[in-house]
Amino acid sequence: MGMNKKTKKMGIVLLLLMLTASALAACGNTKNAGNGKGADASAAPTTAATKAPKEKVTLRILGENNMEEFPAGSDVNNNVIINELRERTGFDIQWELMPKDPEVARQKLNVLMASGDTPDLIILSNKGIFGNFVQQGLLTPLNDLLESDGPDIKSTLTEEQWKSATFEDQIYAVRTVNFSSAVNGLLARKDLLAAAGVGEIKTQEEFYQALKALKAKDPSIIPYAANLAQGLSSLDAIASMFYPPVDYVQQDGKVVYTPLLPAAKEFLAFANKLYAEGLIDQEAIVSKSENLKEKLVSGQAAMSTVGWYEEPSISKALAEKKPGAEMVFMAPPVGDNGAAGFSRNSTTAKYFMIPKASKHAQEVMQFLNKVTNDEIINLISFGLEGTHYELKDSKLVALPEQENIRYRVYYNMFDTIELGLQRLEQKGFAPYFEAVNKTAKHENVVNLVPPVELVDKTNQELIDLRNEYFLKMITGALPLSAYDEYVTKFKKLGGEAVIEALNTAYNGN
Amino acid sequence: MNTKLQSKGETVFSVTNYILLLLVILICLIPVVNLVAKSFSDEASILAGDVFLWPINFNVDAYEVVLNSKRFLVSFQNSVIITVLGTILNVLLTIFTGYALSRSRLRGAKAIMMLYVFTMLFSAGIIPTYLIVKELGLLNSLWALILPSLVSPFNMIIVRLYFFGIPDSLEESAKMDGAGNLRILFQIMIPLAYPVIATIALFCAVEYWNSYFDALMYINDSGRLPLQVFLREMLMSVSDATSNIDMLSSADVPQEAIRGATVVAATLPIVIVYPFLQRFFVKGMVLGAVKG
Repeated sequence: MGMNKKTKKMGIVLLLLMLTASALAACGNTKNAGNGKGADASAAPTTAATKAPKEKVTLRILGENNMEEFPAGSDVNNNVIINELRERTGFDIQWELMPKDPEVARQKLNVLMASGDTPDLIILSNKGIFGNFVQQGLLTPLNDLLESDGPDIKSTLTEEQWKSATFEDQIYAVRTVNFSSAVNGLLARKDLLAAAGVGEIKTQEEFYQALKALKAKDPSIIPYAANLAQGLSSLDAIASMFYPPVDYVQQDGKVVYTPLLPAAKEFLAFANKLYAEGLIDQEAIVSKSENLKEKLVSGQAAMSTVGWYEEPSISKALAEKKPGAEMVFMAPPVGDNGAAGFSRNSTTAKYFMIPKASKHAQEVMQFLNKVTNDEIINLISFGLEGTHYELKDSKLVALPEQENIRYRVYYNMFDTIELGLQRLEQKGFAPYFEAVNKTAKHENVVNLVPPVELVDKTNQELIDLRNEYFLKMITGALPLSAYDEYVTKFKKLGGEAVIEALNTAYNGN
Repeated sequence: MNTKLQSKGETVFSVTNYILLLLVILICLIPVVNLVAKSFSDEASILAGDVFLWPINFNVDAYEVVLNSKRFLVSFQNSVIITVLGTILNVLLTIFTGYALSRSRLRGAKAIMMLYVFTMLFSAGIIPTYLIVKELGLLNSLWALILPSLVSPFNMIIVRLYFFGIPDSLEESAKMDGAGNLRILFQIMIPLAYPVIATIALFCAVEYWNSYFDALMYINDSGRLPLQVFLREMLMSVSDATSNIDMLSSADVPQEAIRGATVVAATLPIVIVYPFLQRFFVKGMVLGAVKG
């Protein structure tokens, strides 16, 4: 009897456990459509298949997560834009998003690639990952596919731009363009400059006098603030008077490393003078970008090199804190040797990669070929014509409904510079961008060539070394004569081989 | 009463102790208070660095945004499900295993034990684990965060050792009174083991609440990600703006206040629940002591 009762009880407990388990498992898997069986997904009937007579091929696309919140009832794989995209391309695309955390993202990618459970198309902007995959032979070479199934894609990029995704004459990724190639500008308090009696600043001497005038007018003001704890880029406005403020540039048919140029020594001497005279923020060495922003917003600082996208929030907060203050992007001064201009990001962006393990390489190429179509680029950029935007004088004007679509994830596909600029204008950022765009000139050679293993490995060390020595020399922790020591160490780290490798990759000799 | 017995030296010692400990408390509290203050302040004051321990231009806009955010609520719900369900299942299975392995009448207990210990020393690595999770059809399901680590050998060993300490005679006398295995476990052993159960339950709950890496590995559907992932993404999206200009819009780049509010809203539940749990734990311990 006791035995019986016991087994009964145990049975009930087990049953309950199993029931809850299965119930929750069921509700946990409802939306698993494109995922569970990965590779043979073409056989899996999906929702779309019920309508279309011909079964659509399912393509798994893994993209970066720059997504915002989807409104209730829709998600990344179920919304106006993606449904329309499926309709127009004839492919059942299933979107997956990378984790935002870069370290986890890298690991997840490695796991996916190693497990053979790869998406059909990976769209990422990380050059290091692309280089890695190519070197490990994980990507499908695209030359033949582009020829047979991607005729429209070929023409979206110039020969030069294709080079950045080419290894040993094989293209391994499709790329697209990036409108936002300008980054930094010289941001200054117009009102403070005017109060200090400073006119236009055109030369190095005028720049120096302006900083001195700012300090003389109000000693509590920091004439030039910087966030040197995060590298040298906040000094770009000063450095650009001496040499192009990017690491590697092409000069006289050869790639050179700018910190080794004779002008770099002059820059160090000048920056050191500014720092010693208190014209550069004495706390700069421990400042991060939040601190820099804080100093600008609270009105303590008069100038700095800042990204254009930071400007709107700085100006807005400054207007609230200090009515009457005016912040503008100024034309940066030109150096005595004629050097001028900020860095310019590469106009080529993103890598569209087809893993070797994908069984749908050809379909992916057909899909990509279809989405290079202008109408589809409009769709992913702005939504549906008539619903989300309308055409006025060949310009796209956003309708109120556009606020309701969460289409940003699809920017990870093709883009054009014109459309990018239009989006910027629609959001009201155009003035800030244009102010900076005029002065963005120099492109880093690293961005123009395909990933070079040696460069990927060593470059960070070289950057760290340069930052360490340059910062110490600017702040006076090391004498300027330490420059020679820096050059020796640079050579020891194999810096010359890196320059040579880049030169070979860029100039081909 | 005590103070009278203390010598001067001891008084000095106590006072110094109190001061030092208070300082430590302050050091720990200030960042939290600062965060809370920021979450109630307006953006301009935060950017200007004016907010320290007290909100400036007090407002609850940030909380409105956070609490109305669908993703926050969904992630929160996911985390609660994972934590509650995971902890219950985990503790239950750990007790079952630990109890069974602690009884000398179980044949092969040593061999089974070795198998558990083996997993503590050697792990299969990320890729095989991922493949198993995938082949079991757990990808994109909350179960992927609960099932793979359902019995932690470490916790199981603690529980097993605890059960070892309970004399066999107790079990024998229960048996004589006609109790079966399950009754012995649920009505005698488990009440005696409340302290250890409370401990491992706390371990588990914290672990499940903090699920992060596994979630990012196994779950693609943003509707099924736990709170920690949401938090991290929230905190990271500001630095994202540099790499993706299309993210920029005066309206939806998460501002400092919203970040603060999210952290507060995500932490508060655990902070509120904790004292209640603690009381329960203490009670459990007393209960165990009386019966033992």
